[in-house]
Amino acid sequence: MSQVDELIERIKSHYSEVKGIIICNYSGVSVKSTMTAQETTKYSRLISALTERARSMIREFDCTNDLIFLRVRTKKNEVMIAPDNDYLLIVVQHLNS
Amino acid sequence: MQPTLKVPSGAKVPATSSKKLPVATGTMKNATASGKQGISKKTKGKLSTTKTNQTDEREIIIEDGHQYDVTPEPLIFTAEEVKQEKKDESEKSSAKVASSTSEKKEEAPVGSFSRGDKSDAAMSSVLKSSDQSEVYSEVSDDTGKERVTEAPKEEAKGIPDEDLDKFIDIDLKETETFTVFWIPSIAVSAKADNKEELDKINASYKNLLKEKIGSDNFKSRPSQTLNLMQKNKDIVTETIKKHEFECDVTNWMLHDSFLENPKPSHELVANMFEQEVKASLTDQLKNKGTLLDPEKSLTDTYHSVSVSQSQITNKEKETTNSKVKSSKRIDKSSHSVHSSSSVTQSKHSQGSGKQEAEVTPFKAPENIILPDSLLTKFNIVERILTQNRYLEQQILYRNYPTVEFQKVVEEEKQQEKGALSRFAMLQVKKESEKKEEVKDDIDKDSPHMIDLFKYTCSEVTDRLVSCADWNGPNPDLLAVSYGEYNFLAEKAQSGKPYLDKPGLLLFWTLKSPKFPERIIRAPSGIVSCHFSKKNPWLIATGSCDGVVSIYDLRKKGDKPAAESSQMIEKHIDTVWEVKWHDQGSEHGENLISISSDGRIVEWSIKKGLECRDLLNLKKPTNPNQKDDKEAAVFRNSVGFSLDFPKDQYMLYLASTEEGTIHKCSLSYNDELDTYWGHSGPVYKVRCSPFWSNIMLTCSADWTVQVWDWRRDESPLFACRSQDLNDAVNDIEWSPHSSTIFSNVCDDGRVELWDLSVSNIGPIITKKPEQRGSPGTMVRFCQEFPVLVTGNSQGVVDVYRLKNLNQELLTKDEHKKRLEKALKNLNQELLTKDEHKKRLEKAVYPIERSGYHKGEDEEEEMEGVVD
Repeated sequence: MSQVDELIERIKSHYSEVKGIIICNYSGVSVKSTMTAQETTKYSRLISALTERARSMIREFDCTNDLIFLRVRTKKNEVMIAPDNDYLLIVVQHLNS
Repeated sequence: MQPTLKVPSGAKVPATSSKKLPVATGTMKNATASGKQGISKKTKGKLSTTKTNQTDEREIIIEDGHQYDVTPEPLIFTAEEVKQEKKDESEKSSAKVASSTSEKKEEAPVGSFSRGDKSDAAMSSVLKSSDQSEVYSEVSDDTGKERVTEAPKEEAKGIPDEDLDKFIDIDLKETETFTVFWIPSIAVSAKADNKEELDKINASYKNLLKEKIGSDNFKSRPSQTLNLMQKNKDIVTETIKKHEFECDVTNWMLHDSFLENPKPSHELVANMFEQEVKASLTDQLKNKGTLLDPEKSLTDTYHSVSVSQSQITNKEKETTNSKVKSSKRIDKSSHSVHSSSSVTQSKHSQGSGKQEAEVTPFKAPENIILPDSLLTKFNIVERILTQNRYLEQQILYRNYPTVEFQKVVEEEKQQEKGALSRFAMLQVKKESEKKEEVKDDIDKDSPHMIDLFKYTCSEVTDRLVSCADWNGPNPDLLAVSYGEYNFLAEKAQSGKPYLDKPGLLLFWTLKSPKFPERIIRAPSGIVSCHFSKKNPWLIATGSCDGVVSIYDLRKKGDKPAAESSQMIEKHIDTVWEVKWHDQGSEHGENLISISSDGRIVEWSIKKGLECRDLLNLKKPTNPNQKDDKEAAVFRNSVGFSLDFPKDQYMLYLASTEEGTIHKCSLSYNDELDTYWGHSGPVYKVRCSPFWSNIMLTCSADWTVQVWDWRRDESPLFACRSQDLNDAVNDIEWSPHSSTIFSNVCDDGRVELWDLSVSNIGPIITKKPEQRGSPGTMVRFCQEFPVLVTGNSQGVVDVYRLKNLNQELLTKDEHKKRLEKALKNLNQELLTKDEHKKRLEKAVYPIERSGYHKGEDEEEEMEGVVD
């Protein structure tokens, strides 16, 4: 866990635009987060649902394929989602351009 | 004889009175007694003494005339009575066991006798009829025999000791087959014996039915049937637990579950084969008159069927398509099995013509206009695609340090995975090492260039890259102009008269190496281009036909914001260079152009496009060439290039075809000074961005010369590689380091020189393997350690420079560095001279007076060289 904490700290410090980092599971229960509780629940719940959907879509095309990374680029920020077997890593980066 | 009714008055009724048959043994008596009455309690005999006291508890006894006891049996049996009956039977059977007399014989009469009695006993739930009596006897037989087995258990207790040693004969018999349930048929065979009888009966019955209808003899009335007593019984159970579950089943879920319990592959193959064979056989059999050779094995049949499919008709197409479907289904479920048979099948079905709906090409719906906003999305996607493809190169371009880190992390990950992957990784490493070895032996620490991308597209293949310029605010944007200028050479090559190809101005960026951000087409080949520093959306171009154009990039389209084609004072020959020059707040930024017609013209866009002549380049005479005593020819010479020293905004330097460089001023119509040194046309003149005294020129005489134009009219020294035998087409100073510059030559090579290291040879040379197309343009990127070069095939190469020893110095420091470098180089030269003097002194000692041959000439030479 300490390695994970280190990494989170490093990302936070190097990239000041990072709004938050969340590690959650597919039911929307978050394990680690650098955001407020309300935001965390929102993000984890909604994004886990989206990831499930995305993965289902990809595997429908080809069962042997799987989702590796999902990037959602919006007007104001970018949400980067890295799904694992049991957990999801969500990083939200604020964009100034 | 009328039956008589006798009612016992509580007295005993001897059991024997009801018995009519003679009995051989006492056991018989017992058996019959119990048999006949079923529930009679009276039994006599040796072994059943306990039973003698039983009285007949029936209240009413009916006897017929012949003293047969015909008392109807009671309909309802109580539990006790049933038990008694059982006991009686067990006694009877034990008696049988003990005796060794011929029991079979006895049984027969018992059996037959008991038929009638037993039938009474079992009568409660069964209807009587003449035909059915046998059935009941069978039933009764069975019940009798069932009790045989029970008897030995009960009597085992009472066997006396002396009997234990006796041999007991035990007959084991199997029960007769008994019918549990039988509804006899009402149909009788037409050939039956009693057919006539039955016919009569049937006919009489029919008559009866007819008579019944209106007859007085028959009266219908209801009767109540006996309803068995019912008892309600409630049962309480635990609630059945329910659990609802729903899920969407998707393809991959099936796939995953299959992975958990995979069928063995041989089973899969067998299944698939079976299905296919079945399908092909059914298909075959549909044709009437199919002949299947029974001696052939199934596989043979299968193969012959699949072969014949290549000549099938329309009808059969459907069946083959269904096979394709089935094979597809099979493929889905058996994810790993891909037998060749299915492939051949699909091939055959394809050969047969139309495919079914699954494989048709996409048909777009009509009348749909895609919105323009999609275009921006396309741009985004293109950028992302480029990033995915060229990520490494882009990272190198941008000078990010993270690439190695990534590799290290990946290696670590691989190490974690285990031995097998380690082995794979070793192999990968070996391969990559080999690759590196195969590459030229570049010492990693020495300066070198890495090929990043090539900016080229189909529009510009075989077009000559004439000029390029970086945009100020957007340092990724590179404007590249394309246009031919070597007309005679072109004509010689192609044999056709030169047709002015339209010019192109392409805007490239590292985010899209495959296609430019924008294309501007001009009527004639563009030979030079330059971005304005003050207004970075303006770009000026000079073209082959002498037209100077200024494009406003904020506007779309190919039309320039201003152009000189309609002006009287326009250039009448190729405009070789256009440069924006900021003259301060008074005059603003103006454009200055130099052309083959020998004129240097200044253009201003304040009120439309205006121009004024700055200078007419005349062919000057070479002061060093004393032999030339002809009058100066007042013809304009061709000017190729001009440049402005950093700090002096009124002065500029122009290079000509004669090999001279002129120092001129914006306010004078004449040259201020002329520099001699080149023996061929000087294509480019460039002032150092760090120390404005120093200028660099390149020429068709294979050399690059370094000058200090404030000091001398002659160059400081020349830079030329030993093996260079071609014209140098373009040069540029590095914006990052004062002593570095680069040049491109006609043989396609790119050279990078560092004056602080050496002036004899370049630190980096990049030569094409064979004689490549001539390099025509070279530029350093302002922000990143990147070099771009262009050639005559329309390709702009982008290189990353490595290990150039570019220290981060201030401008002053840079200047000093350059000074120092030049001094060192000059000192070298001087020392050579000194060496020469020493040698001469050694050969011709000065102590001797008198004329020394060549002394005057020496002095002259020295004057020139210095």
